[in-house]
Amino acid sequence: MIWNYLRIAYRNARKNKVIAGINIFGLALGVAACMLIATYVLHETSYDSWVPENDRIFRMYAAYKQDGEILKGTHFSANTAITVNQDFDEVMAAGRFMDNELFDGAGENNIRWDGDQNQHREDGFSYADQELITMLGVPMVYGENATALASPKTIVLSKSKSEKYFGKTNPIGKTLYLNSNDEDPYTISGVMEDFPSNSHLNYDFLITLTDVEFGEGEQTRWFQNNYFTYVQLKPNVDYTALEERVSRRIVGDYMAPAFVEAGYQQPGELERTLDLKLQPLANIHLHSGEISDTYTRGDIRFVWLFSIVGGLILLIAGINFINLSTARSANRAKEVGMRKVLGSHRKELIGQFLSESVLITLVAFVVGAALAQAVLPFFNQMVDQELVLPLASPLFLAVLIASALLVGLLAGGYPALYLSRFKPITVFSGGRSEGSGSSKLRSGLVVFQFAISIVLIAFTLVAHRQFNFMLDREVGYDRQQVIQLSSTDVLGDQVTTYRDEIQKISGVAAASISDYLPLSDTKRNGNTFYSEGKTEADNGTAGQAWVVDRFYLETLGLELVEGRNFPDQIPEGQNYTIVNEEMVSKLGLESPIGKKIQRGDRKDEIIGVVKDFEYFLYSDDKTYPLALFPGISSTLMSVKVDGQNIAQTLAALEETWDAFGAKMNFEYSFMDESFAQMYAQVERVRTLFSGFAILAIFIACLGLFALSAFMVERRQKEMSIRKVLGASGQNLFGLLTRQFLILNLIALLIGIPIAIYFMREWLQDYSHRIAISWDVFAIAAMIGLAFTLATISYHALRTVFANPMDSLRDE
Amino acid sequence: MINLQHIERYYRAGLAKNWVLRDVSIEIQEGEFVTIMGPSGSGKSTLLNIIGMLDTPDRGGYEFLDEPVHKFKERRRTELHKHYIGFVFQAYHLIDELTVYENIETPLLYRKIKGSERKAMVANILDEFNIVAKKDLFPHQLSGGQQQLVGVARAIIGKPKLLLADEPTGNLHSSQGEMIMDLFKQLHTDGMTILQVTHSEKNAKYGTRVIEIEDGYIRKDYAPTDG
Ligand SMILES: Nc1ncnc2c1ncn2[C@@H]1O[C@H](COP(=O)(O)OP(=O)(O)OP(=O)(O)O)[C@@H](O)[C@H]1O
Ligand SMILES: [Mg+2]
Repeated sequence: MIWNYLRIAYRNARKNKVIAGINIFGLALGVAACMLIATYVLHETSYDSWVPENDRIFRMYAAYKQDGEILKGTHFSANTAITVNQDFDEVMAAGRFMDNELFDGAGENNIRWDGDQNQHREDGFSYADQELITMLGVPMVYGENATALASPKTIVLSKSKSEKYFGKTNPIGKTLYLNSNDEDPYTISGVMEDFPSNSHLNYDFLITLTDVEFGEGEQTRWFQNNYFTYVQLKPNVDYTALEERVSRRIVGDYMAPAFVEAGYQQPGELERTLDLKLQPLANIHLHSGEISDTYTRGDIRFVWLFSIVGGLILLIAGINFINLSTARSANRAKEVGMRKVLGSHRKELIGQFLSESVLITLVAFVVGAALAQAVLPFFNQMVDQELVLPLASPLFLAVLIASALLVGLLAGGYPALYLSRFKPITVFSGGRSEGSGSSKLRSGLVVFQFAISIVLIAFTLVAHRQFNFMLDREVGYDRQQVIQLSSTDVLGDQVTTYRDEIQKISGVAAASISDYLPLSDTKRNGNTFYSEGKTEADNGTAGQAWVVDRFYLETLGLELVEGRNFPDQIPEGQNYTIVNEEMVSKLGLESPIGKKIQRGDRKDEIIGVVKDFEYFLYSDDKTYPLALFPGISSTLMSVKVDGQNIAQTLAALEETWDAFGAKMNFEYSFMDESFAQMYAQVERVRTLFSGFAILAIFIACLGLFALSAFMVERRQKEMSIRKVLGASGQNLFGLLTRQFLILNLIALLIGIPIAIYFMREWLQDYSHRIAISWDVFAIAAMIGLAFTLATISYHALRTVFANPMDSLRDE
Repeated sequence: MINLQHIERYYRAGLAKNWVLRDVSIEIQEGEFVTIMGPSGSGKSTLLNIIGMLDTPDRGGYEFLDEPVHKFKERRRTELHKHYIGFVFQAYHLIDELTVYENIETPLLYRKIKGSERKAMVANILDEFNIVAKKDLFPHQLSGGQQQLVGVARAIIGKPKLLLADEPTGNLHSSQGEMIMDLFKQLHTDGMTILQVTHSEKNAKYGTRVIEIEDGYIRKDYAPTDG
């Protein structure tokens, strides 16, 4: 029986090649998109699941209440991990990472292997505790996971870096020098597998923290916060209850007394403003939106966005399927009637229709899987991942086949039941063979598709505008024609001479030495500032302390609103600072020039106030308090050039660089490009989203195209009669398209409020956002109407120009 | 008004040709009431369709109002259908989606006749044909004869100059048939040119001229003897 069904199904598909083709192709596109999205979503949600005991491992974070806001940070003092481990039985182990670039060895380094003359620039250095690699179960290629970082001055490299420098040989025991510091060698003690792509960590070099102290008393002080702290709990510990006790103990018994003793805070103050929390390891990637840990993490909102878009695409494709099947049912009514007269049972008819729909769905899924595989490289490039479709996994195949069957049964179910209910007599009497029920359902589904399309179009437009707005808006500094030179620290003491030298080059307007730049991924720190003399009653304000030279303002085009720039020579015994407006307002300084601000024991006199500019401290782009201090922070140099002949200016810069005998290649980047780079993720999401939106609309159009073929075919005879009665081409075209245009308008009315709602929600997450203007909807409506008209015109026009006798001569 | 010269019409059946009309030449003046007769399959409907410009001959010339039809643009043809020619189809060809009332009203819509006037005209004809009670029914709810009546009503409501009626009474019982034929005669007296296809000698006598057709050839062309 089933073979008989399939044979007829196959024959039917061949007979309606175009329709079957559209059905299969549309569904295949939907399936391909869904598979890619599912793979992406699975990857995003699988972060850190590779860690064997990830459900018992937590990252600590601190939640500060400040000015009615809660700031969440992940940096702790060195002794926090040790103390938590000692004081709580439930804690099995605690370990730390320290990757703050302020400290030599972390972040980027110039490295040299013993026996090699050349320096190499490498990024991805972090200090780490032995406990941490044990806790995470980091798999090792060479060396022991349990002991690799136990001894002082040891370093573990990733497999890829090991292969880069040592090929397939075991490098354990080799010596490494950092930043030309030849008296201070490190020994390779292990090679670890690269952190997998679904790891929130991505270091290539781990330096042991054993016996490390960054300055006198750093390991025991409570207010020098540079360490990411992870804890592993014993089995069956309720972490939410534990985090409260940890918070009370660590803040109340250790931190608060230390802060009061140092004069930073009033008794009782810290307990009220600070909570310590535990974040499950698996949540770090997607749920760290409000936690600032200096890394760009994934975003659960994007995961949701794409899941929804994927679902919508499949829905649109499924709607096509249902619509085409019910539409076709009108044309197959006679067949069904005949079969019934010939004694076919309802059950058999249902079987026939269902097997047809399942057959088409299965073919579509196979084609879809092939399509997904084919575009995977392209997709990977877009999401910046190396995803693999798990096509060989039996589970995946099972899910695939099951969902194909499900979609086939669902999409074929309604038409099957509907068609099999036809009464032969109504079919043969030549009446209105189509139940109005099915055409209502179809209209409803078409409206739904249109509405989704309108929402997607409007959303794409708004996202596009928002993104352009973010890239083009005023941020308070001038990033055009600014070039950053990297590794300028290799010049050593010569760095200022180099700066002064290149300022003489004719194309150079200004040059400044500073690692602190208004770009993400440049140096940051954390300090608490007080205004002088108010330390006792005052909580101060958290802010950045940046070391810059006196050309900084000029090079970045920063505007002084009051006071003056740093002078050539700072007079002996004077401490000067330039602060931003936010600092002035947070400290409540009335006329700030000449006032002093205090941090720790230091007091600095404000000689200038710089207009607020955005400097990307957190993933938001708000402005936070900032103080500039004169000095040299020498890894990066910024050069403002005139726009005339940049190539020539660059050549001159490089020539001078070589003349200084630098042992590194001359490397530079353009500030406006680095700025755009910070929005790479937003950009990616936008591109992907637009791509999927267009795909969804395309699939909807495919369905509409086939559907209009049916509708028009069904009305062919009516159109011919009308033509004979004197209807003009416009009359007929209007009649044929009116129905779709009405559906389109209804969809518009439904879609626009939904679009407004979602766009508002979405834009809410951007502190600098565009207003939603009405023309977005005008454009979306026009695009929607244009697509609809273009899609249905083909068949409508064919009918209009057809010879009426072709359809009237049926008797 | 109508001038057919050596019209040929055939259908291809494989390599062979199935001739439907062969060397048909007819001239019809304005104001004539012509009956076309002949056995089933002899080509009557085909001839009527060609005259009504729904079908094109494979060979031969056709002038309508002294203009060659093959040069007509789509627009001109639409104009003629709208204002000049009325059709009664052998298979009725009512619009399934419209009610009786709406079917009859349709040609008036294309002539842009005002609402109130339109209403009056439709009401009149419904009354005349005795189908007022059926006005809100859909075609499939009517008997064959009733559908035929609606088809005739729709064809003449716009008072066309030329009426092409393919077996307009084939499905009607005799009193209804007589009513239609009396109506045609009246319309003819008022100046309408009429071409009808019929199998009935009796109906032929209402007209002024009979053309007999067989195997696609015109066999006879004569004035009916009044009974
Ligand atoms: N589309 C077509 N393809 C092939 N042959 C056709 C087609 N239309 C009509 N014919 C043939 O042309 C011939 C004449 O048909 P036509 O409908 O003109 O006959 P008729 O005289 O009106 O017959 P009736 O009295 O039964 O209505 C018939 O033999 C018919 O089979
Ligand atoms: Mg006929």
